[in-house]
Amino acid sequence: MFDNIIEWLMVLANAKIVSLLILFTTFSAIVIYVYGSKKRSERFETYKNIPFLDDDEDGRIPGKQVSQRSSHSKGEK
Amino acid sequence: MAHSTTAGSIEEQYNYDIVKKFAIMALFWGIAGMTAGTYIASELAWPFLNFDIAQITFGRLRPLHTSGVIFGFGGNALFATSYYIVQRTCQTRLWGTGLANFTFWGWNLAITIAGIGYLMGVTQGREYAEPEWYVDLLIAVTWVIYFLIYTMTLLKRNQPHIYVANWFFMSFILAVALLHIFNNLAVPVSFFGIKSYSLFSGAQDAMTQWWYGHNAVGFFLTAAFLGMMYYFVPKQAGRPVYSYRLSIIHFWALSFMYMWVGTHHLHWTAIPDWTSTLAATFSIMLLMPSWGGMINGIMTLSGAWDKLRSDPIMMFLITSLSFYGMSTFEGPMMSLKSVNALSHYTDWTVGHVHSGALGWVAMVTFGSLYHMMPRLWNTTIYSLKLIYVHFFLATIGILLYITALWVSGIGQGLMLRAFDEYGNLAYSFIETVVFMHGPLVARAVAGMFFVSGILVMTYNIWMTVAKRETASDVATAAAKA
Repeated sequence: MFDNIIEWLMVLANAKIVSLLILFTTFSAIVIYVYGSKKRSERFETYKNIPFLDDDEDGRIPGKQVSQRSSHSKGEK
Repeated sequence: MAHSTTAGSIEEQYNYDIVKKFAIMALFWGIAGMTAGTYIASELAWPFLNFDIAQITFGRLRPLHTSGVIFGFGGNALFATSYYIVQRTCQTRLWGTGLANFTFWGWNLAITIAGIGYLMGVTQGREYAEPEWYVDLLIAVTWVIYFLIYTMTLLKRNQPHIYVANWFFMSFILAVALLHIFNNLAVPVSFFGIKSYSLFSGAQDAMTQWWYGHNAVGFFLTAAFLGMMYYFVPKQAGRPVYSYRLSIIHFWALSFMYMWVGTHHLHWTAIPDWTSTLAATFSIMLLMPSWGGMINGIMTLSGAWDKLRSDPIMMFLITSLSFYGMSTFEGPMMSLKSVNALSHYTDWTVGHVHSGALGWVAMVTFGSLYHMMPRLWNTTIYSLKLIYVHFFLATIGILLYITALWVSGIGQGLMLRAFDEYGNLAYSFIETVVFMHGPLVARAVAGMFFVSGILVMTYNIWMTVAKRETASDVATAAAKA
């Protein structure tokens, strides 16, 4: 049985089906990972603010902001 | 603008010098490449413009146009924005200042050498990969260094999470390295000779070429500019991207699907039929992530739609997303074998490419540069009105271009396929050329609109920088007094 599977996998013409199965499974796993947990979803959505983290509108040096915020973000994780 | 208050500290923290250089060269190549494009479009409408000079005929200038706009304008804009975005989203200085300068000189030297070669008739005849082996080697070295700089900058980031725009840029850098190296595997005739021959031949050569060709569209002209979009649309809108999770799915779906679709450029040729079907199937599936990304970008403006009336930079960015949506609908439709039987080898394909290249790539680049360049020089834009003028010149140009080539291409396709009652071809080739003359004139005029737009932009940016320098001089003189 196992030998048959290995033999089937070794046939070059079956590479299309193998690739499809690997890629589709991986992609499905990513979708489940991204949308599967409410807590994880909330964490992902916080990352959308990254482009605004070094805004200099408040007149502070971005590097200083970063260290404060990045430690805060690390705490969240 | 408030950002001026901390400009000194920002310039110390980030390497803006390299971003400025690439941004300026993007405008230079944009003018050169688009002017060459408009000239060859005019040659098609008015052939006397060849003037019997070999160096300025369509065949020589066409690769100069495509390389100028894709690698000169688009490439320099991508280097500029990726170096800007990776620094600002990782909140760290770009790694390797000297190496970053090497990427600037290497990239622009490669385009210059390749461009001069095209005019002299030096080409390896591979679409969008025309440079001969010595330029390919220079590009490969430059690209590996680009990858190294980007990776090292990401590694020393101060932000724990890598923002999604950087994922798109990394995917672009990796995929283009792969595509460039494998598509350009060639054997030079001699060490000091300029001519080389591809390692592949026949149908395999064609499939390698279009695996490269379409993924250049997918990863150079789409993924990378999506990286630009995911940073500059939220920044200009002043609100975060609509859904971060959707951007993650957008990224992975594009990355998984794009690699399979290149063979749709070879429908009805001597390739295995299953490759054609596979390419068409994945092309149709690509519609979903493409539209997911488009909706994500446009919905970022949700709740601030008034910006579309009051902010010309936002008009550029949102219009670019609309064209992204339109061309990613048209592309899958044209990849269907039955539609392709009509559209292939006609001007419809050229129109489709330009709806993506002008509507999506150029418009998102213009919007991004308008956002970024005043910040690089710590100033405000010289004239908001001129941005409006540019926007309308560009939009009119694109719409005229696309509609002209729809008429030309679909008409040409229908005429070439028409039969009379006896089964003979209904039209001779020259009759299709006569039919196309009107639309080709309109296309050349459309190009003139678009080139006028980038000239207005360059003047606006020039004045923005000049105004800033004048203000600095006055401030220095006042301080001395």
